[in-house]
This record gives sequence, structure tokens and C-alpha cells, in this order.
Amino acid sequence: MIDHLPVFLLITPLVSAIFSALISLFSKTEKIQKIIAFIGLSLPFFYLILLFQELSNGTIEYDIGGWTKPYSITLVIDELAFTLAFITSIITFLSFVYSLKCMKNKDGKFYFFFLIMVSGLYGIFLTGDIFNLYVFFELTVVSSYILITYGDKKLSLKASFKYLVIGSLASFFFLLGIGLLYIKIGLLNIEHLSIHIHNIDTQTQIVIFSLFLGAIGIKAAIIPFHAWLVSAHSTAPSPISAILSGITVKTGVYIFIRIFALGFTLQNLNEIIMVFGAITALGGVIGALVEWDIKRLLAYHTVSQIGFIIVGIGAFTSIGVAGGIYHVVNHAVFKGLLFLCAGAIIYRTGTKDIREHSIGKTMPITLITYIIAALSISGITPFNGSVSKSMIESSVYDYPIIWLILVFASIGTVAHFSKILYYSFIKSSNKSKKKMKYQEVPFSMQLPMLILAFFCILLGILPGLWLDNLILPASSSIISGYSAIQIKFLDPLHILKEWIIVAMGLILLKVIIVRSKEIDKLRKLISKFNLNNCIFLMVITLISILIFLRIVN
Amino acid sequence: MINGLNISIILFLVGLYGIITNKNVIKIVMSLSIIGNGVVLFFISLGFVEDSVAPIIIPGVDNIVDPLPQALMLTMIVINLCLTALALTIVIWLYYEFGTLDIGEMK
Repeated sequence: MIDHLPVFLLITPLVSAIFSALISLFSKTEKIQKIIAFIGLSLPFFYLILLFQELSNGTIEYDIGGWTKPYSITLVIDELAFTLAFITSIITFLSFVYSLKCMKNKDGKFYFFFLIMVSGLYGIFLTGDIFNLYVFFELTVVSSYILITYGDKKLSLKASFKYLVIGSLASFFFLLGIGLLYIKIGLLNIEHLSIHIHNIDTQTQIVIFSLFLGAIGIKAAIIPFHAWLVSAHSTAPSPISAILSGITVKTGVYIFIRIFALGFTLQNLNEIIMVFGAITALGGVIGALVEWDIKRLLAYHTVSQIGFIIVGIGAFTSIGVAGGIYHVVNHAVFKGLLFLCAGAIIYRTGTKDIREHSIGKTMPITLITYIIAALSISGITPFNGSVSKSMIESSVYDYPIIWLILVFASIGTVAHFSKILYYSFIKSSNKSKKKMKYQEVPFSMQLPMLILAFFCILLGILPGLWLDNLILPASSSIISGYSAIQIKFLDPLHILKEWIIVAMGLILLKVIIVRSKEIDKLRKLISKFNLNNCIFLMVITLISILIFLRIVN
Repeated sequence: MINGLNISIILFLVGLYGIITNKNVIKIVMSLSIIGNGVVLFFISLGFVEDSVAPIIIPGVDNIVDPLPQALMLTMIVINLCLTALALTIVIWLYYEFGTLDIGEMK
């Protein structure tokens, strides 16, 4: 039994998906489907706890079909894969619990697509074969295209179509890259690819890297490849947004780490990636400037936080990669929580516009969990975001401009989250004449929020729990040559810097409120940017990367 | 030089051009299919060996083309079929909701 756990992790959600689809044909009630989905989503958590003990003996490998290694399709669980699979099991389960009450328009097929998506997510993290990565990624995104359409009727359809077109384009780029790797090396196993990749000539490496950067850029929503993300994440139903923002975007980051760790022997790769990361971190914040829609604001901040992660990985030092991976985990927790909070607010008020919320103190649990998540994403010391952010920032001390851009992005983050706090909770609305009285959301929606808020604090107070056991071994397996990391927690100078950032963020908020008319003009300018232009921009960016790499190598 | 690889790259670029210039959603889906076909042709050409036969076991014949890209492409064609079907379904819903196929007019 314990030997076959990796494959059980994949097929448990898959089998429950098939069962739930069969049952939806015969029965109109959702009760049995809910039980099946509950089992299919909670069992992987226990499998992973069992696998954790195995993991201490080294990487777990499982050959499907019993073929020998370079020819078989393998499942590989190392520390990185385990970390991401574990956080997936937590976020998907909590989102499922939340969706029970939150979503009113779901039908029998909802659970089918939900479980298929979860199965694809585990597949992405576990597989050791680069073509299988593509297959599992398609499994995930095809079901997310459908799940998005359960959101706001008209807009979600358009967002889903946009996501489909751009997502398919990413897959085609990825496939071309795989094809070129295959013709040069003749293998598809990721571990073996990393051994042989330095034999490929520079010209081909440049093309392969650019194709992969295009594919991963779209999947991980790096600016300028981010066009699909904001509409898709903001129109999806809130529990699905939490998974899309928490986990599905991270699959792009995960593939990025795997591809980057293959060891391309090209010049200036780190700098290119760090510049992309810095642009993404700042661009996400600037994009959020014009928004009044709470979910669009959060989606833009997903882009911004991905930028932080990419900078950390691009630095390619022990502390940078460890910080990047830790930020992946932390971002999954606090952005999941933020989307669930937004879902709770929309559930009671019925509008996404933060200017019309005026909740006040009527929803205390939502208020408290929102504040915890906002402090986490802003990187204030006792919460989890601060640990990973300080690790990423300390990895780019050699590049002062990038460090400065990250600090600006942090200021913008503080401004936007205090903007939501100010308009949604504190300020009373002018438009609603009668004083609205809202109730707290049902308990099955409160519980996931409270658990995630607890994780926000736990990961911040005891960072060693994850760092020492999982994340530092993961980063040291990616970067050959382990260098000792000195991570300073509760450094007074660091705390002072954080509060200076908060103060500057509040000043920026004041400017945003005063100048809101001019910002609305900017909004009209941005909305003119359509699908065709987005894809044109992506292609142009790819070609310029290709030319740049050709020049410097 | 006309061979599989070059034609596949031309197909890829034609599809890309189609997505960038067209506003009609059905034409965008068609362009995606063209790109997909380009990728399939690319992989099949990778496995091509001159003067060899299809990888089916026949006694006495051992000069076969590389079967792995063909196996990969079978998977990819199935996924692409699924994607196209889903895209066309969404197009039908888009037409019901907005009454137009022009993506620029869907507001």
C-alpha cells in the first residue's frame, strides 16, 4: 500500500470525479456527490502525511508500469513537489468546504470538474516527465476554463474564452520546446534532461529557452504575458478564484523552477528573469491603481506577488530560491484567504464595487481575517509574508535598482490593501440611503477563513517549521552546492523598514483618494487593450528576448 | 526547401498571425487549430527517418521511424480536440449572451 501512495494521490480525486459524474446522471440531490468530493479531497492530505515519513529517507520515485528509468513515466516526490502538493491539498479542501454554502448556481457537474482539476494539480507537481507535465497541465486548465464560467454569467464567459486562447498558445509554445529538447537529447525525463542539457549548442538552447519562457510566462502570468489572469480570476466564483490564484498560477512557477534548474548554459539569464520579475511586481501594483472591483484588485496583486517570487528564483542563490518557494506557500495561504474574504463580502453585499460595501463592524470574522491577510501580504513582521519577502529582498542586495522596485511594489501593496479596508469596512457609503445591516456569513464559510488565518500567523511565527524541513532542502537540491543561510527574524531594523513602508503606503492611499478622477481616465486607456493586442505584445516580447539572447551569447 | 519541419513552422506562424489580426471568435478558434496542426506536423517530422516505414511490427522489417513522437502526438491531438470542442461551446454561449461574434463588441 505505502509503495503505491504516489499513484493513489493522483487517482483518488480522479476516481471520485468519475463517481460523482455517474451519480449526477441518476440523482438530482447533491448530497452523495458532496460526500464523494469530501472523501476525494481529504484523503490526499492523509496520503501526504504518510509520505512525509518516507521523504526523510530521500526522494520517492515511482515508475508507472514497472519500466526501467529513462523509458518509464515516473512520478517523483522531492521536497519541492511535496511542499506544493501539501499546500494544494489544504487549499483545495478548504475551498471545497467554502463552496458548499457560497455557490448557489452550481450543478452536479461542478464537483466533477473540481475533482478533475485537483487531480491535474497533483499530477503537475508529482510527474517526472516533461511531456506528462503538459498533459496534466491541460487537464487542470481545461477544467478551470469550465469552472470559471460558473461565475458572473456574461463576463466569465468572455474571460474563459480569453484564458482558453492564451492558455492554448502557452501549451503550443511548451510543446515546441519539448520537441526541440527531444530531437537534441532523445529523452523526456526531467532528471535526465538536466544531465544532458549542456551538450546542446547555444543557438538551440536560446530558442528552447525563449519558447519555454513564453509558455511559462503565460502560465505564471509574468508581465507582459499576464493579460488573461485578471479577468479570469476576478469573474470566477470566489472559491475557484482562491484555487486559481493560490495554486494554479503557482504551477507555472513550479514548471519555471524545474525548467530553470535544468541548467541552461546561457549568459545573462538570471538578469533577464529578475528584470521580468521586477516589472511584474511593479506592474501588478500599477494595474491595481485604477480598479474599484475588489476581486480585480486582488487578481492584480496576484500578478505583483508572482513578480516577487520570480525575482527570488531569478537571483538563483540559496536564499533567493528558498524565499521564492516559501513565498509560493505563503501566497497560496494569504491570497486564498483574501479571495475567500472577498467572497464573503460579495455573498452578503451582492456587489464587487468597494465603494458600495460599507460593512462597518457587522461582519467581525471577515474583518479580522481580512486584516490578518492584508498584513501578511504587506509583509508586516509577525505574519508569514514578511519572512519570505525579506528573504527575497536580501537576495537582491547586489542589484539596488531591482531592490528599490520591490520596495515600491511593497508600498503600493500597502496602499491598495488599506484602500479596500478603508472603503469596504470603514467608510460609510453615500449611495445607500438606508443603513444596511449585514450578518456574518454561515459557519461553513467562516471555518476555512479562520483556518487559513491561523496558518498565516503560524507560518510567520514559526518559519523554521517549513523552512528547515522542506524548503531549504528543496532549494539546495535545485542549486547544487549548499550555502548556509542566515535568516534574521525579528530584526529591529527590518521592522522599522516595514513600518516606514506602511507609512508611505498610507500617504500613497491619500493621494489615490484625492486624485481618483484622474485615475479614472487612466482606466479608460487601459480598457482599450484587447485580446489581439495582448497576443501581439507577447509575440513581440518573445522575439525581442530571442534577439537579446542571440546578441549577448 | 519544402520539408515537414519548415511547413510546420509556417503553419505555426500563419496561426499566430490569424490570432493577432482576427476579431471574430470563430476565426480565432480556427487559428488555434492551425497552430495545433503545425505542432503535430513538427513532432511527426522530428521522428521522420528517410526510407523507413511506419512503426508497426512486421517480421523482417526493422527500418522504422521514431515511434515516440507519434505516440506523443496522439495524446496531443486528443487534448486539442477537447480544447476545440470546449472553445466552440464557449463561442455558442458567447453568441447567445452578446448577440455578436466580434470580440471587440462584447462589452
